[in-house]
Amino acid sequence: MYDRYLLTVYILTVFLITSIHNIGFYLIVFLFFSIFSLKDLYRLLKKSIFSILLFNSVVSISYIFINGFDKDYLLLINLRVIVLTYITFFITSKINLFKALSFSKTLTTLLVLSYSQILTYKKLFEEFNMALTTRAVKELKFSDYLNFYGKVFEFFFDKSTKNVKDISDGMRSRGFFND
Amino acid sequence: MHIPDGFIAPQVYIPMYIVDIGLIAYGFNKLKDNLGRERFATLSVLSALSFVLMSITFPLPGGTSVHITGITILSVLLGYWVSFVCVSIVLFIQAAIFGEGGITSFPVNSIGIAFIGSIASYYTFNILKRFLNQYMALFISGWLSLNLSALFIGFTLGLQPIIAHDTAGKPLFFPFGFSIAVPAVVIPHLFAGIIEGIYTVFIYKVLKSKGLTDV
Repeated sequence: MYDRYLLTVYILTVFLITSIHNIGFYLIVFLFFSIFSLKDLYRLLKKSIFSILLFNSVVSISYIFINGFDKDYLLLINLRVIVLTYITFFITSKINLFKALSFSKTLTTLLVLSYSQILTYKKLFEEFNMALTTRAVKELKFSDYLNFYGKVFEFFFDKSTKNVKDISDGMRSRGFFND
Repeated sequence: MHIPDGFIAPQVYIPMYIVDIGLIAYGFNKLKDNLGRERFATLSVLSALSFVLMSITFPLPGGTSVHITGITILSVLLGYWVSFVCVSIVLFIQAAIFGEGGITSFPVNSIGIAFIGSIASYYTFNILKRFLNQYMALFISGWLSLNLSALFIGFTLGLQPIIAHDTAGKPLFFPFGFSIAVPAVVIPHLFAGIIEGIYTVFIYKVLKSKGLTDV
């Protein structure tokens, strides 16, 4: 119930932030959430800024070049994006998304299964990339990357074909399908 | 191509959420008929495969790099509903858990990248393979699907200052209209599409040589 409540608060907050265009309001919301996340303030803020830096910099710099330095707009848009991203990181660190979405068995099952598979594949993919980096003695050419990622895809495609049967059998043996 | 939170107005993201949820639900139900009980396993595993494809980066001269989407190969091999649902799951997990892309921009990314990309890939390939050789058809499908997705994202961004501005006409969300937003998003993808096309053809050849596909 706690997770669903937090998800509802999050959705309402996101809607309010994108509906009210006021710098003061964004600062109050940010202050409110930063009090709750005081321990993680620096980490979450750093993560938020890092994740939006590229897109926001491109938009802000282009805006200055085209329309001149309009501090109201630049503050409004950048503050909104930072507050939204900060809240998203804060809420996702506090919430169990799968519990929050447990009103639908289908949705939860699909998300839990996909997320667990993604984590496994992500780890394997990172290991493949590390293997490439550590074993490359000279600068790689485009064709080397193409060959490498071709083999990587072949590995994951083959693994996926086998995993489908394993997961299905696992679900059946645990009574998921109600046979 | 992912848009972060805060650049899309509620007048756009709310209707898009309604459309996107409808499309995902329709696609998921459609897969119930085709995949039966294996649909959970198939979709979860293929979502992970799609996540890997979206993580592949090709370095370019000058220190930049290009990400591929891998949507064309999924769509051509497995059908556009499978590809659309899987890529949407990945985009949702990326936005909600990994903090890549935004919650308010999720439906724009899902419709633009996953839906339009999958439909465009599937039909372009199936139409072109009647006139061209398979590899050329795949290359064009990869290039075109990426650029149609980019066009949709550029168009959605360009729409923001028209529908969301204050009384003085100043933008409240993404600030640039079509004349800037569309070329700014599309032009880099004209080149990225070439890499997407080459990679699509390459992995198709790999799968074909191993007898892993009969498409």
